[in-house]
Amino acid sequence: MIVLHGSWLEGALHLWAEQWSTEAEALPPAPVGSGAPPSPCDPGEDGLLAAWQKIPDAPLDHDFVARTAWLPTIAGRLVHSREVWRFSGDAAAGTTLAPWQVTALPLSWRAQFALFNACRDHDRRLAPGVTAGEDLRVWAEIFRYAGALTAREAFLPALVDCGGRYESRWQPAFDGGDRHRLFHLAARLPAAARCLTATAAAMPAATPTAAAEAFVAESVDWLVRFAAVTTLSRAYANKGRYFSAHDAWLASLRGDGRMVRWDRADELAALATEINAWRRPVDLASHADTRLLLRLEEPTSHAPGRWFLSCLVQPFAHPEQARPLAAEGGEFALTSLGQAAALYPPLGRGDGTHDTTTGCALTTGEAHEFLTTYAPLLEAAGFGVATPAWWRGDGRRPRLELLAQARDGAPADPRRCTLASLVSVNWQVALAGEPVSIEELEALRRSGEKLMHFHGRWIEFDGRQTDEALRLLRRQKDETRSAGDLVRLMIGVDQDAHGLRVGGVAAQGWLQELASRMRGETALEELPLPQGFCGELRPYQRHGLAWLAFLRSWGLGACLADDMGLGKTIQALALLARERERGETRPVLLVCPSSVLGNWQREAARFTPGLTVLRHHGPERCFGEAFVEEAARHALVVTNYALLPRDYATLRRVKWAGVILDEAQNVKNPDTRQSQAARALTADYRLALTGTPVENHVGDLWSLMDFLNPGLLGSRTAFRDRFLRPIQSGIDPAARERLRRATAPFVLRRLKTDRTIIADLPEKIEGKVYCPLTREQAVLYAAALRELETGLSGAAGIARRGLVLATLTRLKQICNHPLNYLGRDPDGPRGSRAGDDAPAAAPRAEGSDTELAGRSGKMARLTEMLEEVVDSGDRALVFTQFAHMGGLLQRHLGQTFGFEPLFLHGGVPLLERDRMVAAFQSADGPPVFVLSLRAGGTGINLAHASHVFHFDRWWNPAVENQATDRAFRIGQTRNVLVHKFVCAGTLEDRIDALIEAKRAVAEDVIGRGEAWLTELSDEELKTALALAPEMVVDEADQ
Amino acid sequence: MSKRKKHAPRIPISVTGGIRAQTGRGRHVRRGWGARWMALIEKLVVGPRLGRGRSYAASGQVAELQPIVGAVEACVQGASPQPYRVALRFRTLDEAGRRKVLAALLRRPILVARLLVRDLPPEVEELFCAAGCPLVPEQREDLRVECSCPDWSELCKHATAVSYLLAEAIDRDPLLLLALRGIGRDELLGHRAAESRSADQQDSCAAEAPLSADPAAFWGSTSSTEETPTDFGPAPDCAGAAPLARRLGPLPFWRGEEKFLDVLCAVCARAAPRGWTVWSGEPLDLSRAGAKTPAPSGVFRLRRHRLNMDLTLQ
Repeated sequence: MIVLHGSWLEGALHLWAEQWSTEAEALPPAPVGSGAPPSPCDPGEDGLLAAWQKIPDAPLDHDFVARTAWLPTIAGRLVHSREVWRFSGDAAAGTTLAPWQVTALPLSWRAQFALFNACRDHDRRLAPGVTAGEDLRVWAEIFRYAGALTAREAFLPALVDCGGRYESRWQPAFDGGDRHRLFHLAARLPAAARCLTATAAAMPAATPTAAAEAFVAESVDWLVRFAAVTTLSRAYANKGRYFSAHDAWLASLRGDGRMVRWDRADELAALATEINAWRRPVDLASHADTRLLLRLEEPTSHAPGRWFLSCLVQPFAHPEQARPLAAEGGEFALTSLGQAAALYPPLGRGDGTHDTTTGCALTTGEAHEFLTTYAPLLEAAGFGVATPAWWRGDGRRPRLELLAQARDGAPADPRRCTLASLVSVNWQVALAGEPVSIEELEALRRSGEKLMHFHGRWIEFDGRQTDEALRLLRRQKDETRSAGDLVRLMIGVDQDAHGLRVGGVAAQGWLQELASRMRGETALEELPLPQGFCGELRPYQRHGLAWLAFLRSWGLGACLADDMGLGKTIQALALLARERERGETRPVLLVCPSSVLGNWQREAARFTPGLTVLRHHGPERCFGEAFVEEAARHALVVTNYALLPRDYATLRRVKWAGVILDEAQNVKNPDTRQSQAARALTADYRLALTGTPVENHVGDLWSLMDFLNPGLLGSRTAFRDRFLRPIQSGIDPAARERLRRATAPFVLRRLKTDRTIIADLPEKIEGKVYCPLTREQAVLYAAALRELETGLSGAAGIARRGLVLATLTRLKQICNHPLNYLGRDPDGPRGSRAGDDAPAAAPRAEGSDTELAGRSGKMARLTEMLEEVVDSGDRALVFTQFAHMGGLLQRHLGQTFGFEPLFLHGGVPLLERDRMVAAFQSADGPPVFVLSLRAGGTGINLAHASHVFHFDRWWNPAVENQATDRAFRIGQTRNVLVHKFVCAGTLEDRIDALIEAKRAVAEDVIGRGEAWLTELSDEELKTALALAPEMVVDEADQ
Repeated sequence: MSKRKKHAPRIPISVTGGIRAQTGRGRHVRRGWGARWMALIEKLVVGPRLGRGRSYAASGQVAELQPIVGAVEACVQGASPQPYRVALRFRTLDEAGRRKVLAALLRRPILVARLLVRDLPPEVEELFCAAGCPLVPEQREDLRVECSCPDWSELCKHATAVSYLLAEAIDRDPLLLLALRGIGRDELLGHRAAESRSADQQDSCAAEAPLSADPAAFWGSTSSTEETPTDFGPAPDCAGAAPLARRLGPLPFWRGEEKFLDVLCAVCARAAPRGWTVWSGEPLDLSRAGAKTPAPSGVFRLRRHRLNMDLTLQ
């Protein structure tokens, strides 16, 4: 894993990196000569280049440079970012900053844009194996701030004297509030963000705020320049000859370079002076600690209809202490006032003083115009605007509302109602919750005022809306609408009808019931266990089934987002069984990652043995008409995400009863082909299963919701404007709540930690995870078996026993990962043996990550499951009995998640082990801890973990349980899920079954080791170890 | 001086990048304060000098123009290689009048505020009239003209050219009129000017800590993944409104061929959507083609209220 850092130096963001290797750490500190010693963690030009080129669109338009980084050092050793947890508390006292030489890459603006494109969201990972340091993530945040300034158009052109050369710039114009925000952002920058210097002579001097401000200035300049190029006509740009310095400047502002091509420096100097004079009021504002505040005051009872706009001076530090603008208010305040008057002419009348406050009196009409038109404009120009409390954001200010009274021509049997059923609606018009008659409304309309004092509060009247309301009232006739329309209004997905806000919907009967159930106000009746479902449902699972059945009965899509381990599969299977019970004969399509195909088949066989499963997978799968016929004979067709778009033409020919997406986060990106194919399939109902907290990632929600209930959240663009941008940019805190309300009826997410769920759960839940083998694993597996067969023919006694045990180990390693078996030991292809407690190879020695990913079914599944664990903020222990495998896992997970998991093996000294445990227990430690089973089994307390993964098996439940139980003590409040990984169709699978069968007498028969396996006869052994070929997946399908 | 020479003046040496009259050739200021000033000039000028002065102003023959309190000094490139030095000197307020006007302005902050942003409220002129010195010179006695050219008349074409530019300058910044009549900007602001200068120096940020050697602080905490969104300020309302530039008004003495505020608005209209993209954490399209995508709808609800301010002045 390589970690990229960004530090501000000499007007550019410099990229540098850390990379670790055990060899490098073992190196003694280089002697301090004239310059700084080279950092042992520096990847060098080649390493940095390789990492940089993995970032999409990353240009290489600058040369690498050697720079000095001032890094925390203890006793001449560098403390790199991965080992921070080792130096928490007292150990930190000894660290000092020392100069080290690193390779750095100064970033051009284009490179910066590409970098921050990759460095988004919650993801620390920029590319496989490349992680962003915390400093880079804060830079990304500050970059977003530069975006916000650009979006607000808070920038001005400038002409800057750079040592006799003049350069054009777009400079951000901070007002006092912006300066505050910048200061807060800068405070978050870790020291690493400014630790570079050109030489080792002196420590870096730049303050965080200065660095952040310079960075924002650069970013805004390039963001604007990048966009502005198109406003420069090509002919003009190419001409290169200008008539005046002004022209040259204005052209340069929109060019790729900043140089102003004008040869008379004196004219440029004069122009710079003029520009500065012009900008002066705004520049003053950016350093001022106050701003002009315009406050609209409502008429008092003495002077009805006389509004007053008062001018105040508001300090940024204490916004509540605004004081009236007086004559001696200062140049800045007066200039601000003049500028405000230019934007809002009534202010310039200067006709009013009102209790010695400067300002102007307004009529009601003017007040309305001010509120709707000028207040936002003045705010955008940097003035403070205070409006009365009742005047709030667009959707919520008091105005005319509609009340809907739904009268269903209720069919006798509510079972026959659907969302398409028609309902007649009677509209009423209300003001502040009270119905208004035609006469009242007409009177209001005649008065022509836009703001009315009504029942003690001010209400906005829009002429068009009033007309529409009148039209509705005069019509005197009910309107026919679909039940779906009304339900959308009732649960808050839609808010408007006829251009008016709907204040409430009253309904009776089934419609009311439906809405209140969707809102979760009415409990769902519990359903009996469907026939054909063998197994028990826990109480919350029964509720889940009822909820699924309820949405299904209305043809609505549902997303079951329970925490991992709560049994989403079982609930989905129960729903299928219920559907069959109710007479469904059409098949259901299930799409899932290849790694869980086998799991589904097994679970279906266990819980719903009556449902036949067709596996649409592998080269032998059917197409066309054959598939349609075959599918019709099965209850469930399972396929994977890779085949979904590839076989879409075949899949769409079947009339599906339903479509289920397991691990539905696979369709979160609406542009992928699998997502498009999933949304294009037609079915009676749709179900998505996911363990990741979908609601946390707003951007991912649209695609999922559009699959479940097409059109619910509107088009993608509408979604972006209505929800995504307001939420992501933080400008509308209410948007998140609106989105939650609109999606809540369709998402059910229970957490293990929910009080009600805990009561239903045992302290420890064990489950098996069946993983497929990759083609490569299968080939290796078959080869190992052949080797055993030839070996067995001549061997007996100790030799036979040894051969069997060695083969078992070998097969287990193959099931783990091909590399676990092939190893890297130069002495032989299968270097590591069971219990080999040497740490894994140094990362660089083993080559690139492509050698790890996509080669092991177990590893793929573990990665998927850990993703959910980490996303939900949980912690996990991963046990393996091979230290070598532990090292591989650490490397792979580090590359995938962007943080380095802890790894405890036999070679870790005691002190280090204690620190690792402390790090894992601490709030910001890595959430994944890899342990080799032996090293882990020595009574350390890891109560923070709520998931335990056994990556491979010990074939002795007693040893396994003992080891895990000794490794962690289960906290009283926490349920622990134990996931035991088994490669389906291999020895692991069969021995697992054997153990399960013999569990009762396990102690007697199996004893305390794996030796019992060697006692099996040749034939028994062969059956136990044989490979079932249908459990193999191709890497391409992963 | 021969008759012939008088009626066919030598062609002036052409100047590039001189101050160009911005109101267009032949359509000089015909309204407002500048127009009233030109009315006096037109009364004083004899013969074809008016037209020549106008074309001098339009073609940028005036190379320098420096207003000071009570006068305007300028350099005009004529036919001779050495530019002519022109000065227009004005009659200024007497001491009593000045005190009266200043006191009155202090009582009405909005008047000073409007003057500061280059607006001239009629109330201000009334004040000057009452003090016996109308803001715009209306009589011959109010003005004294000096020019280094050999023209014998009271107002030569060079002075006329300067007058044209002055008319434009007055319209752009009426504070100039006050200065010509004896009340400079600093005087108008009095102690306020000094106060705000000291505010310039002030920096709001507190002293900042040096680099920390503590590894956790140095490399940054790894935990802060999901927080509440950072406050990046209020939502923008309209794309391409260039609110700051509009707040400042046009750049004085503009010599460019393109219209300054137009360009700024166009740039803003392009840049704002990109800023939005970055702000809301979406990836930025790095190809140039993406620059042409129109501004997204929705939040930009103010577009129809875009005010066409001051564009004519450029």
